Amino acid sequence: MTYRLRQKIVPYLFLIPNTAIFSLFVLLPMVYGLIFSLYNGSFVQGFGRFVGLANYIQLGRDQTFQTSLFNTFWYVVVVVSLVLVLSLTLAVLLRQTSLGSSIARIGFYLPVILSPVIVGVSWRWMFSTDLGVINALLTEWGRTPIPWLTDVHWAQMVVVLASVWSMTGFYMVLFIGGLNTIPPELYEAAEIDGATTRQQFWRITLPLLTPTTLLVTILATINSFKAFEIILVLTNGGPGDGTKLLVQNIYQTAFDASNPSYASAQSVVLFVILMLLTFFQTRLAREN
Amino acid sequence: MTQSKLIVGKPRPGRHKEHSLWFDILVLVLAFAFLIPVFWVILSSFKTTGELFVFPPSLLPKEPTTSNYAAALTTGNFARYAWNSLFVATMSTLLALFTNSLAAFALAKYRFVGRQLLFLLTLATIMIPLQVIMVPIFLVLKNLGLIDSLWGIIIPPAATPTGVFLLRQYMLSIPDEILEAARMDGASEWDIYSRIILPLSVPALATLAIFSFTWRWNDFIWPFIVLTSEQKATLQLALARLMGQFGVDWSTLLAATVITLLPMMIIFLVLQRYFLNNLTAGGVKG
Repeated sequence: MTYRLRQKIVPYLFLIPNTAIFSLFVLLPMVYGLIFSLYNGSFVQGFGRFVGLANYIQLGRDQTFQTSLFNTFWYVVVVVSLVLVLSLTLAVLLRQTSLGSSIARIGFYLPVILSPVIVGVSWRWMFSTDLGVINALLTEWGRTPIPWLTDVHWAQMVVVLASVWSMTGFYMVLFIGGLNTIPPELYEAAEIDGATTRQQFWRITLPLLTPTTLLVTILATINSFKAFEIILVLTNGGPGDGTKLLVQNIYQTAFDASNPSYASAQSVVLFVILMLLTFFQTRLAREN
Repeated sequence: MTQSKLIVGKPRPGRHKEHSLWFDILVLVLAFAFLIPVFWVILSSFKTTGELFVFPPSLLPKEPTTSNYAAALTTGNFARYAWNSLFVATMSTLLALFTNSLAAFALAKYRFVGRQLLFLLTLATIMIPLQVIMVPIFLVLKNLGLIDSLWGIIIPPAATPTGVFLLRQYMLSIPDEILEAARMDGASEWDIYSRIILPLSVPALATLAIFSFTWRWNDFIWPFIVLTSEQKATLQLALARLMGQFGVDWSTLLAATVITLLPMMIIFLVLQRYFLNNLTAGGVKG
């Protein structure tokens, strides 16, 4: 084989393993799912009958789907807001390089490396109605125990808190990275001009941090839309459908109700939401 | 006043220096409080079954015991699940290192038709999460006979776009002259990959290995969709199944939880700089 020919063929050969896995397990399923959502298919019989957009039209009348979509939107809004405020606060607090803040940073990051299942288990153990330490403390202080995971509103709160707890450390580190790109001279100049710490935060830190804030917002939003496991372990979507989110509804529609085509249509909706978010991310990133 | 301030000119990051000790104590207490859910699980896992149900619970175990761990590993079958998790995480990481580094090498060091397109495609798929293709991937794996096989959760996630991206960026910094010199000496392209590129990329490969292992060890959705039989379950799947049962057996479950989180905790504490610095890699879970 000549040298030139070799140089032309070799890169394709090197790309084969990765591309094969990728095509078979990402691209093919993408297309498969899109087509499958236009059919009346099942796991046993395959595609079945072509029904066009019937699955999508049915989504408009599906109470459970709409509840899960509504829950997801609320969950995303509350989780992302809390994560933003908390991770930025921690970043400002822990940006300096003292021993204490370095160790604290590790501590706040640790929940990020715990699996979602473990996050769910730990929070359920703390908030268990009859065995949980929180209710034990409440009783000790003479208050009535709270049905944390069996009352809709409390369950929604615990689910949100557990999610925020598991994500905050990661975005804190992103914010610390962003803070370190702000030139220290700006603060020195502001101090000379007599600006208070609060003014420095609102006038210097926050405006110059905008690219990081956007990145964090988008990443946290996308990750929250994908939430599933923590809630599965904590409440299994209950009580009722009170904490059921989109991904869990897709799973249950496909595998518990054995309606994969209908679940595929819901997946396409989720995909479109995620794509729109990604699109806005790239647009905003370009403008900054 | 401004004049004197200018002359004294406090050095950065001296803005917070004056309350350093109290500040350190404060943030450490906050971080400790933040981790209470983890500490509480670990403390509880050493309590006897009887003590777990005593009200009000004591902070420390009164008679610390490891019997919960023995129960989890023997009767609870958690030794089996731990082996499955270890096997899956290790094999999937090795496979990812191999396929991703080959692809990254091609994208970083060769000029060929479609290179730009393939690279952009790789980046675009970072945004396709498993949650979106959950249903069709089950159908694909079913047709391939990979349902309820550990290989069904080892192979599919191996082509991580994050890994390709990370390795490619690193390989771009390897000078082309080294590769050219090797070619002059008659080295084959495979030799160049295995004897030059791989050894020079060890830092990036290590980063990918750490993240890949963490992702696969913590993975729940893949096993949840693919694995059906009890013997094949990974730790995460077994834990979630125990939680889903009516009447949770907390004593075994808490010990099993600690067994599951311990490897990650050790990896994290030993290699924390990888996690706290390499944000491009950790940014999107693979």
